[in-house]
Amino acid sequence: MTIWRGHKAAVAALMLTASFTTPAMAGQTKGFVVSWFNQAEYADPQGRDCPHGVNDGPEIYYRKELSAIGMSHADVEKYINDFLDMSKFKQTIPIAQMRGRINGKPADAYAIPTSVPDPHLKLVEGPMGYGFNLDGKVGKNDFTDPETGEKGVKNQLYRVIGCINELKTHTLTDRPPLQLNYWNVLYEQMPAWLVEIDGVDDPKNNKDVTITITRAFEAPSKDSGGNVATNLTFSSDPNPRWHNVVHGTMKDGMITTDTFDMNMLGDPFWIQEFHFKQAKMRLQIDEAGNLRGFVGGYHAWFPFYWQYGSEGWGVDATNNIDLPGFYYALKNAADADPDPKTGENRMISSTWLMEAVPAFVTHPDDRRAELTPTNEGAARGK
Amino acid sequence: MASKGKLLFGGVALLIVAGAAVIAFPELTGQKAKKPADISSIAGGPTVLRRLTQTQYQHVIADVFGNDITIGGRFEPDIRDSGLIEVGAGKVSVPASGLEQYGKMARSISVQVFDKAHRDSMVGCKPASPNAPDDNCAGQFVSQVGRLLYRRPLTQEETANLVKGAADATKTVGNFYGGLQITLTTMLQAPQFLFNWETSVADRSHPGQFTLNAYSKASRLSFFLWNSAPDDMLLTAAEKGELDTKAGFTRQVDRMLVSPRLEAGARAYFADMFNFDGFNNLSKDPTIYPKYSFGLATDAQEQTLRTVSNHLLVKDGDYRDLFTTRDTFMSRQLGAVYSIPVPKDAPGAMPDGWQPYSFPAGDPRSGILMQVSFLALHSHPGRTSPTLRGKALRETILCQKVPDPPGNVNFNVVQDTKNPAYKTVRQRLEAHRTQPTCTGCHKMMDPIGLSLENFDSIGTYRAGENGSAIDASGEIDGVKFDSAEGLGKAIHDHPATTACLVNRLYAYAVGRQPTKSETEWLRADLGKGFAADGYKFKPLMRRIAISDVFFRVIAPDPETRPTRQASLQGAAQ
Amino acid sequence: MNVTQRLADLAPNRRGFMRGLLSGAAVTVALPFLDCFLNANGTALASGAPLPTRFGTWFWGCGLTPGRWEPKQRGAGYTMPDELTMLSPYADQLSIFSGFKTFLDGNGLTPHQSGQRGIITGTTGKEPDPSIDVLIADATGPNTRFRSLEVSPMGNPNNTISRRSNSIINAAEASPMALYARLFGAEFQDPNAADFKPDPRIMAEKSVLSAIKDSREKLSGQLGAADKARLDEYFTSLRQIEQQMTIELQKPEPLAACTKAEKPNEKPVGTDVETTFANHKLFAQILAHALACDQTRVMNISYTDGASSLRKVGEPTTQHIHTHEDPIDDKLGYQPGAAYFENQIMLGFATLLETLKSVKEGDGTLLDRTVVMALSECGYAKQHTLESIPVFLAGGKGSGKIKTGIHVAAAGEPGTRIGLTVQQCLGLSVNSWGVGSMRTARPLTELFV
Repeated sequence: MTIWRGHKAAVAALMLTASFTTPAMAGQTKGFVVSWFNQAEYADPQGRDCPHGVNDGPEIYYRKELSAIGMSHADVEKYINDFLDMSKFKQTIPIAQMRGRINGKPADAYAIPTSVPDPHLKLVEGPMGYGFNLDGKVGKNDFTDPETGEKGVKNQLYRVIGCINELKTHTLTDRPPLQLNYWNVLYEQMPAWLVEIDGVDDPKNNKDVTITITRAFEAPSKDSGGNVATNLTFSSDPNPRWHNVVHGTMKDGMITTDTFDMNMLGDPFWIQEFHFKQAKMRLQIDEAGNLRGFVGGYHAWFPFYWQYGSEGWGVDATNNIDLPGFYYALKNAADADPDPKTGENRMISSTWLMEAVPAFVTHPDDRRAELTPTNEGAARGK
Repeated sequence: MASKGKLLFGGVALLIVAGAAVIAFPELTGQKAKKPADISSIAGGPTVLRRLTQTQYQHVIADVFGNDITIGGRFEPDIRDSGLIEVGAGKVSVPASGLEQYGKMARSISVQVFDKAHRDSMVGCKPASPNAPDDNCAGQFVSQVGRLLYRRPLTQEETANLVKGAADATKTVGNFYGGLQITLTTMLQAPQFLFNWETSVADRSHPGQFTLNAYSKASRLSFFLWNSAPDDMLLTAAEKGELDTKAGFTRQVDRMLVSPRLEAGARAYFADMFNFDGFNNLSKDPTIYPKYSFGLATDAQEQTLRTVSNHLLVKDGDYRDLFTTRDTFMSRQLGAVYSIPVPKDAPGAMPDGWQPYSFPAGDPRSGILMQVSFLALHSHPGRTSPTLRGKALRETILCQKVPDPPGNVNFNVVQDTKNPAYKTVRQRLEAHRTQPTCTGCHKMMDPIGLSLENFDSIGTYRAGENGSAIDASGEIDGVKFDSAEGLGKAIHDHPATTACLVNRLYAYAVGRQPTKSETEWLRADLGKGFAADGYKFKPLMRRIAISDVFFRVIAPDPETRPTRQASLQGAAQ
Repeated sequence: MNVTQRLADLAPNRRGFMRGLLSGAAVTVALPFLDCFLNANGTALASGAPLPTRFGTWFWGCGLTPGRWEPKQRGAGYTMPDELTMLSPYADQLSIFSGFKTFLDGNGLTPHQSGQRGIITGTTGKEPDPSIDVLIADATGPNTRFRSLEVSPMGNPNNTISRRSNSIINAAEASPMALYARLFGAEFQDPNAADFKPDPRIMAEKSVLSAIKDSREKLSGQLGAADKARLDEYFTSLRQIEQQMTIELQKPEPLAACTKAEKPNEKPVGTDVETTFANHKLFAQILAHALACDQTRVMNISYTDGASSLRKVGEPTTQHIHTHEDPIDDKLGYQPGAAYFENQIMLGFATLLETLKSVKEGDGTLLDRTVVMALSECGYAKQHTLESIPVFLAGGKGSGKIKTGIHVAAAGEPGTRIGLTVQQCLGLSVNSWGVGSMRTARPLTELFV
């Protein structure tokens, strides 16, 4: 009862105060629901990212890899013809799948990608890439961030995917095709990700802000226009596993955070769980109240392979990604967390573009209704 | 193109018409009540054969066969007449395509009633042989179910016909339950089921007058109060003659008024009065209003009906306060449109996701006119229409008819071709207010709707339009206000508001427009009673239901010379 | 969900493997070329009777732009006017009627309705007579499974101009899927099936249903005149249902090419230009099939509602609002915004004609034996005028019953003259039609064969 009265009073206070302040800014917690979270890639307008073009399609790499395991030229040609034939391609699947060789015996190329010799995928060679200088050093392999100009940016994941046609962006604003398809299919089933930003008293500069990222009990939803619905109420899961809090600073409208670890629940068909180490984040809130920013950090690289490797031939052939090559490229590009026995790096630096739209975030378990400024409240101030 | 001469005439005629329109409904603009007439001198009205509405059909099926029976098929659209679908129900018949659909629904219901899961509980007896006719068992089923479906015991002839039909069908399809299933399918297409019949008999307590027979009384009561067929108790009371005494039917009325089923009846009335069926064909542009969906429309109707039901039935509130109250209910989807949080665990939150919500004092929203249902229903797909909202308020809340525009209105005069781009709707409708041919009618509508312009086409609040602040001042019948809240107060105080409810509720209950003498009685007697009761809804329902006038009918008019209609019918056959 | 499986299934469509799924590809209903009920030459029914002539109405709201749709020449061989250029391929089958109007005779004007009501039923009074399609269906279609079929491409069952009376309004089908199920669902008898077995369920139902008539006398006896008339209408409908069942119980004539059409996918319903056009196209295809297979001989299509709610996606203004608010363009001399929608509507009409024409029947096409009366409800929407309401007659050239391709220009004559002419051409014995100023006994003899 007390809580409800308090809530009412708070709502009343909100309505009254909101009517006297500039839009959406007066020391209240802002709530958002994430509408996009995928790798941040830079399609260089000058074409420096993939100077040798994008990676080959299956017509080429199958030809190479099948020849390499001793298939005759005639058989390879027949294979390629069947592969391109709508009525016959199905019979080519087992051949592609079992093109690995271990001690001369066929092996599943997707389950054991090392059974196929490294085809050496083309990697990103350009100088620009989104992200953060995660380790404080500026090395030869590093990028410069196109928006902040930060040097020493670590984004090895981008290096691997940025020249694979279905995984790369092609303009400065488009979405990478395969990631977009997965996202669209899974979005309304995955748990919603919630972002709360506390301490934004001034629209441009705030010394101390706190960003909390949690998952919701509800799944997000899209509206009739096909976009993520705004102003819905979500309840934040208090489960500490997916509870991330980080301190930041806002300067000239840009929030940058301290280093933190970020753990979030994904989806088995995407990345089942995200565990970023030594991560950093930067965020901006636009005039409409939407959030946009980047999260960069080190992450285990194997799940990035397995997202597609577990699909196997479907991704390999129809999305033109030489999966064994993808495996090798990730492995070789990994740049952190060496295995104590083998010395091989188990984690890879990565940067992710995050966008979010306004939402109400409530905290059911600690019985506290978070209130966030709304467009309606802001509008009344006018 | 209309000549100038014609135009002037048309314009003048319009003004006269418009003037007349305001005068035409004296009883609705609050003239002083005349002395109440002697109630026994109030002639009743004719009986009306009403087709079951969609919700009535659904309720009857649920009552008789259970809530788990789904109805597959498409309902014939209900028609609205005199502001109510319930009155339109007395003006429609069943087209062939409609009967075809009723057949599909009947089939789908029968299949479920006779499936293994339901059969034994639905059919209270077992046939002697599963593959042969059994007239006894068939007769039992037909009588029991028929009594509930037809809302009266079947005649011997009806029973005999159906039993014979069941036997024939059993022989054709080869099994008893199959034959009975087909019989039920037929019963669900029969006019005795599809229409609500009113049979008149001589009124022994008022020689020379007529009243409804007991079963017709039962039907009228239960469709009025519960929007469904009479239950077994009411039918039994009818059979025993209890409904033929005032004490008897008062007892039943009081039973029905405290039943939880009253809510269904009240909801059905208000959904009809508020024209909520319009949502079925409402579309909004998804690019401009992405938050709108059929789901939102459903929640919007539910919000208003919950508000009304809670206020009138649970809190026994004053009807007029519906236009000023800040108390309502919210769902998660509505919260996104109203821009308020809807926490799962808020006090009073129900498992179905609804929770009580009160707009704080000073909030621009109050009353049901500022809920999404009213605002969205009476708007265009892409923008608001003060004219539509004003017209809707006049017609659905105040029972006032706005005349149609005459032919050949010259819109050329209206257009300022030099500056067609206006910023706010108020500016665009300037011509409605200044051109003589337009003002007559538009002054009845636009000033009402313009005060609601802070709410867009789906009811979202906005402070401005295209960068200009919205001026929410308005006026209705001489009462000026500077905000939508003022509009709510003006409606609260408007004499037509309560008069409209009384008239319309009565029309709903009897399925037709009230007669002249009934109208007098409604204003003088019921209207006064409604005020004395503090404008509470349940007492008003009770006053109508137990009044001597309610069941009074006039004898059916004798067979007249065949009309052109009937002769065309003959030709068509 | 097994994403691998889905990818594999879609492998033939290598590029954009999932993109098509979510946006919904356009679907057309494949129509076979039909030779239903034909004798060996294809010129008559197998039974010897001539191929039936069908009738349809096609309604749209908010009229056309005056001056842009009336041909300059009278009679045959007119030049197709600006607003109707997309109908040029059907010029020889298209008669245009200009200058015909609806008289109100003191009845109130219901905007966007009275104009159509007068032409379609012969009166704008409170008790309109049956619409012309009902009269024609009663006369020509008692032996078809459905007396008539009504559809609304905007998805609203209330969008219909077909009525027998005020209490019998023929509601429109709102979804092509639903129409398809009605026509080709379980009750559809495949004419080419090897063996025909009447469905015992229908036999039994028909028999029990017929017994409802036995209570007619007793039920009517207690009713007043108005209610009795409505009960009579119910029994008229019952009779039509019995006829429908009778047909469903008969072995249909073997039809060389009559096969069940492909089921359409459920499409979104809406009032924007594209959605309306797409759903209309689906309806047209299904209706063409229905006509050609003699499931009905009368169809009614309401392309829009009376006050046309057509609009462009993302724009707030409907066609109706355009007609009232758009200024007249100085150079063009008319409202371009309204004209855009009129264009779109005429494209929709052209699609219907194209669909009917694409179906070969006998020595011609389905269009040759279908007379479609297309009409609107006003002359100039901006002013709600009832002068010169656009009316067309399309098709029927090969029916031998009506002359086509003629422009008839009148000066303020009632639109019922057109309806009377059509009825007489189709063989109805009617000398006059209409009420009051809409009453006429003078058909347009230039259309007589």
